[in-house]
Amino acid sequence: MQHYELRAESRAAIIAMLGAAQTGKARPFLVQDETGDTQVDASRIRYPYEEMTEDEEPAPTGFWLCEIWLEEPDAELAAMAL
Amino acid sequence: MSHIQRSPAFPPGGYPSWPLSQPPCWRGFAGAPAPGLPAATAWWRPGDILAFDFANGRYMRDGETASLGAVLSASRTSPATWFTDAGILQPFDANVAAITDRGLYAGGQRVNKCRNFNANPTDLTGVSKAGDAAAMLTVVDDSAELAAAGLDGICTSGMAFKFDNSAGTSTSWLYIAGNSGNTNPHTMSVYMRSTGSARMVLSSSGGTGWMSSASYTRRSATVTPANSSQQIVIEVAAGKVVWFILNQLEEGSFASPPIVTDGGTGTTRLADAVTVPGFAALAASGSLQDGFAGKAILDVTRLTDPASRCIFDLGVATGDRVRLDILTDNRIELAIANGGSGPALQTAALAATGEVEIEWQVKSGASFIRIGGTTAAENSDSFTMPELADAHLGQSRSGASALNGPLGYLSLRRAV
Repeated sequence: MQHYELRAESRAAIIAMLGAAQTGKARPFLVQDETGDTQVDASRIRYPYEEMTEDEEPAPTGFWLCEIWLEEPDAELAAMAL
Repeated sequence: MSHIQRSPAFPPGGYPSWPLSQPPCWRGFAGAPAPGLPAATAWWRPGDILAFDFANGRYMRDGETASLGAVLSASRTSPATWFTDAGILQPFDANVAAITDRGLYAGGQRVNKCRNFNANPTDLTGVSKAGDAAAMLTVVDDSAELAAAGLDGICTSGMAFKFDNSAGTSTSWLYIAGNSGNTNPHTMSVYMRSTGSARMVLSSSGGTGWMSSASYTRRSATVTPANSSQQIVIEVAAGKVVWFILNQLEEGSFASPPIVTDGGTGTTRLADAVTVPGFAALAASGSLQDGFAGKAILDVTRLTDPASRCIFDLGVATGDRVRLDILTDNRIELAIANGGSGPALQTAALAATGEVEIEWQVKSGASFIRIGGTTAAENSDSFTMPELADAHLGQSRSGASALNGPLGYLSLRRAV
């Protein structure tokens, strides 16, 4: 299984990265939910979440993270990933 | 001389017609065969074009017995676990549907925030103790007890955590690394056995306690974290011992099947995406576009979820589909949308938990829902059926509204 981790300054930025990476692919990374919001493909991608410090009292670092697991390598995600 | 050879197995004059009291089970009708007729080979109802008997591991497509792969496609690029009817926990590889004799578990995405190795531990990574200095925290072989609890399919090494406060004179605490990270409701769970009273809390946010437990039993509690740095704490009274495994801290209102952690910053059990391959062709050949009916048997032991739970979503887009859902107030809803709008039927709230049989018909002018054989909602609204291009089971087409519970049986057929 291929694992990629994305990091960006906001959830929207993570979504934009996934949007760019899915261009031309048979199976998109993003889907529209019933309310019209954009969501990640939850069967392959962990919902974007806030990065926290490793302190005893964790605090947001100001960045967001997202993890993707794919069966096949993805060059676009590899170029974006940490 | 005749060139026509008569089959010796074929009775002269063909099979006899059947009395109404003895419909032919070889055509799918229930009951014993009439005299002279072959035994039943079909377990689905006459007219069904697709049937999933998940609980018994048998499937049908277009009137023929089919393999699982011919009727169902599963995507989930993470492993998963699910229980058998006997409570045995089974592992499932990535992209393998979690199906046991309890049925198909179509689960939503969950993250186990615990940072220890919660199965097959080899050391004390992510766990620590405080309190009475006499308390001992170790990893021990507890194979027999794990097997007795049906956990040996996951806990293959037989190792478990032991927190021994038998020599202590005051309470001791065991901390499992992994913070809540936010203040949304979380559920903590753990398999534990103990010689006396023990308690599991989410730091200062509350939890649950119990007396002795001779065998491994899953304990869980849902609490709202007081802050984002709350973690699982197991409290053991003086003189007592606890053994535990498969601890879990997850955001949500119930304990999902155990997620085996890897010692990292959280282990993700991805959502199941379960679809029917080639559904458009099947729907066309079965004329489902003119209206369809079906039956589902599922376990609704857990009710009043904070989100609706989808049994199926058939259609082509979020605004063009037919969905059957368990709503947050425990009503069953059959919602048809074409171009973003359409009628919806809703039953009264389900009164009882446990296994429920739901039947439905989606047909312009004659739609209904039956619960346990009794009509629970019906209407005569006219509508145009949305295009039936694909079928999602146990979740909506956007991946939301996961059923998070066992679907034992589901079938589809053309409406009459």
